[in-house]
Amino acid sequence: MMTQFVIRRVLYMIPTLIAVSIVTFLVIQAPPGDYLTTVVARLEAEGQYVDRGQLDALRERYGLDESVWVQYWRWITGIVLHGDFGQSLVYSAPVSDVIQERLGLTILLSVTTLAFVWAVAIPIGMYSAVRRYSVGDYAATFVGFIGLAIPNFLIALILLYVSYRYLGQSVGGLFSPEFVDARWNLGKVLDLLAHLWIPVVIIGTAGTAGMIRVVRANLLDELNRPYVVTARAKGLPERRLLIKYPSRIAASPIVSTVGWLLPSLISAEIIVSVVLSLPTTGPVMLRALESQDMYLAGSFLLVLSVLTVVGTLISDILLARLDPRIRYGRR
Amino acid sequence: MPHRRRTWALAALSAVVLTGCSFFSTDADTGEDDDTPASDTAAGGPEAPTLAAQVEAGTLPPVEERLPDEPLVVEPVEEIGTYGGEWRTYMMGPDDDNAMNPIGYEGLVRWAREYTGASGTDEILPNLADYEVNEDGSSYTFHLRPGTRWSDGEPFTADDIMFWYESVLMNETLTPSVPGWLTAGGEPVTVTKVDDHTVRFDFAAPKAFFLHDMATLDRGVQVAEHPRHYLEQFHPDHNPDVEALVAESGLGDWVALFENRVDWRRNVDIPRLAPWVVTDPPNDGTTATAERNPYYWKVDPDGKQLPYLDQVSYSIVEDAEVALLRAIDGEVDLEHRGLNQGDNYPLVSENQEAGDYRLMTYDYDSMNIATVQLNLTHPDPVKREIYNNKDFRIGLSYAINRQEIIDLVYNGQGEPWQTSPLESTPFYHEQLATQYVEYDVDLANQHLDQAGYTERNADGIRLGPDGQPIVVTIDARIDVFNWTDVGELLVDYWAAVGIELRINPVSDEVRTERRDSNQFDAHFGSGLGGRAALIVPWNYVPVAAPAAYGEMWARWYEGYPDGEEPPAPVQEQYDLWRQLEATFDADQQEELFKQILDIAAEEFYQIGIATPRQEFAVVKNSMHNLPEQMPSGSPYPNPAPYNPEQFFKSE
Repeated sequence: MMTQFVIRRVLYMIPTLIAVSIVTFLVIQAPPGDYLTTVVARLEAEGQYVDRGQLDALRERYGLDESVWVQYWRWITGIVLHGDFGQSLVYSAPVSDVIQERLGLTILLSVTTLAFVWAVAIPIGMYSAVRRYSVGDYAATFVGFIGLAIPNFLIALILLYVSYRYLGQSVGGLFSPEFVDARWNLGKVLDLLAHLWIPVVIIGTAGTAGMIRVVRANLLDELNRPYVVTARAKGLPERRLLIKYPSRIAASPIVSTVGWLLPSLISAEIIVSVVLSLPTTGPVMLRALESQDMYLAGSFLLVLSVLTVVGTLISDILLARLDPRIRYGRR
Repeated sequence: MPHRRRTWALAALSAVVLTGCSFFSTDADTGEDDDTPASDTAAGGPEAPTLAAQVEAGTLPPVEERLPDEPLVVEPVEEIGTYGGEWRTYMMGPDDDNAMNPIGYEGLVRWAREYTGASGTDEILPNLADYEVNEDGSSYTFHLRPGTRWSDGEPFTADDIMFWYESVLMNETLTPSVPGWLTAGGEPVTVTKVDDHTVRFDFAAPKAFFLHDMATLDRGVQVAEHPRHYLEQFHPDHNPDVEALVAESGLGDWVALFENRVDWRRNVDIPRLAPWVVTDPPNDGTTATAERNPYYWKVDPDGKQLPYLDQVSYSIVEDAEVALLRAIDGEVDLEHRGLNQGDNYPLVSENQEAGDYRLMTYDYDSMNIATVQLNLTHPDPVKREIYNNKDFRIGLSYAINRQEIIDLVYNGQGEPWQTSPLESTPFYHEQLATQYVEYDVDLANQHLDQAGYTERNADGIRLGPDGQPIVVTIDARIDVFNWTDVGELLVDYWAAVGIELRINPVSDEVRTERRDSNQFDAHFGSGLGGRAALIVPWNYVPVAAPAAYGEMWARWYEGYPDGEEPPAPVQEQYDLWRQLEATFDADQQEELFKQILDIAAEEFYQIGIATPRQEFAVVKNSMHNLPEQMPSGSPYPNPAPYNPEQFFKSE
């Protein structure tokens, strides 16, 4: 039963991914111009000028003069047949190298942020559910809404200024200048930690605020259920009761979203990363889209789509395992 | 025996801690040997201590053997410097190639430090080579400096130039079309090797600006960026087995491989003639580094090998705000890129003391902060008719309150200006500078009435020949020069005389694309070529795409089938320009250019606003041998002509 379910879902993924890859490639190519327009614009801004003849030659070299479909076919066959994502025009390097190089810190940042969000949001959410309409609940709600309402980039700029002005830290990036190219040692780890908290807090605030609301709402649903009353009547200590029963059930919607976390692991927070000049994948993707580096941008979006689809599959499987109703319910 | 193992582990741990290069060290571990002996004798010696140590260790030949027979002597701007230190700066993204211009400017010839854009060749100095020109400027002989070496120690000779000529320029796969600066009379240049240290460039016709192009980055400088001994392995003419290397590299074909290998900003293996050689490329990681070239061929007057600074370090920032914060935080030793925008000046200026830096003036090569370029070759016949009506343009010009724009947008810096080259140059043209610059609404209305657009709709907007209100949409780059602010003011000025202006804020890429496909009403242009009018002439004669006022004429001039034959005055300009390009004599050039400017003034192609304010660069106080002021803007790749190799840092 379970195997069939998985096989069916995997088969559904194939047409989805084909469609996604076509749409992303077309959307990237949709704006007028191509990568060379970016190059020309930059050269002209500094008073240099490229011969039109040379431009045409370059366009031919990069295959930019061919139709979108030919370019798409070349790109996708390269990926499927050779695992070759093509060359990034912006980086003059293979796309896979560009993405791989930044993957480590991106995942580190995402995982740390996630840990931060859960560590902060779940206890607070539980507290404000249990102590509903208390001062603490209002305070948490207030802070939560502020976190949701302020755009991340603004918090980023403010924290950037604070850390530069009052903590004397070097601005932007995840390392101080002397550690950027240094090999890993304790100093570098400490330096990383000293810088990492800023993006973690910034990216985490919105997530934390949302998570607090989810936990609070879920828990409130459960707290008035008869089984809680029964447990309480049987004399179970309040704390043990809370953690052992309603919290576990309230947590299930959170667990089911684990699958969605996969793509966010590598997309990072683009705007925050740009503002903070983080060595993560976010800025690379933005730049690729801006300069119409279609192989880099396309590959990025493709990888994200694959992760989204796979993540959804994983959470479906998890749910199916946890809840038999999902497995059998379709009949 | 667990306790025993523990002891071993402890011993091992203490051993690594003691070496100082351990994981538990909290100092930055650069991966280099820390105990390089800073030899006392070398401190005042003719080479950097790090190189002296390598010589001592036998890994590098002595400095006399590394230098040319007669090294080029560079006069320091202030004083003889000391070795060491790094030049910290940044680049705006991994493909911000221009950020590395200052460390890549070693051509056969170079611009003089005090470049003024004067005609003639007085401001072009020998660099890797000395030069001779024949009478009419059609034959150029370069004498290379004997004994000059690439950064790997191989000699730089005429064969390297010939490799560039025969295998790169004349190779149709690598160079499908020979660029204009290397052709004359329809023929590409012929390069001949005279002897090991002499090459001659012959043109079919006189070539006015060949030496200027030779001194220009991305043009002549690339002639000396092709080390034959390294690059020939990637070229099928020299290596029949090149396909094996292509397969190994994973690139598509040998051309891709060759272009990848010749890219000195990203390929750390290519030998260079520059003071610093890229060792950590910008397309990997968030930094880039260029380190001292041990074979650099220039010395100071004391005979000390340059450069003084050990390395140039770029941090790659994605956002201009981060660059700005770094600069005012004092983490940038010398840079101007990305700082000269918006209202940054007051902020950067007031933080000088806190950040321990000073400001250096960059005298920007532009005659205008913003020119309004109406599309005179508009595809819509009605708009074309309106824009080509000179009275219409004159009316718009009179309607602009230039002093107010200067005061409100540009901190009061600059003066009202039409589109003449700057007053300090020999090309200054009074009519082109001052016609129609007064602010006079009555006169503006008078000209617009004269243009024939006297009818107005209920909102007071004048009606065009088709009975529709006249609406102009202007494309304004959002990232530089405060063009959208200028646009907002223009909206009001022109509404006051019955013309509706709409601003279309766009990125540079979109603007370029809209221009090149001729899909725009109007453009803001920068006044480049204020000083180097002969080198960057498109604001005066529409010979290239940035002349957005005559986009289709420029295409016609460049030989594109979809171009459009221009009217007689433009044709006349083109004739004069062709004549000028084939005239080597400086006085005659000036005479011809004056005629071109006469026509430009009469035709009044574009509307100027004001002369631009000067740019600034942030210079750390510990950086020395920099002037108070230097030119900036293409073709002058500031600060490279000021010999960055003689910049140095005090403690």
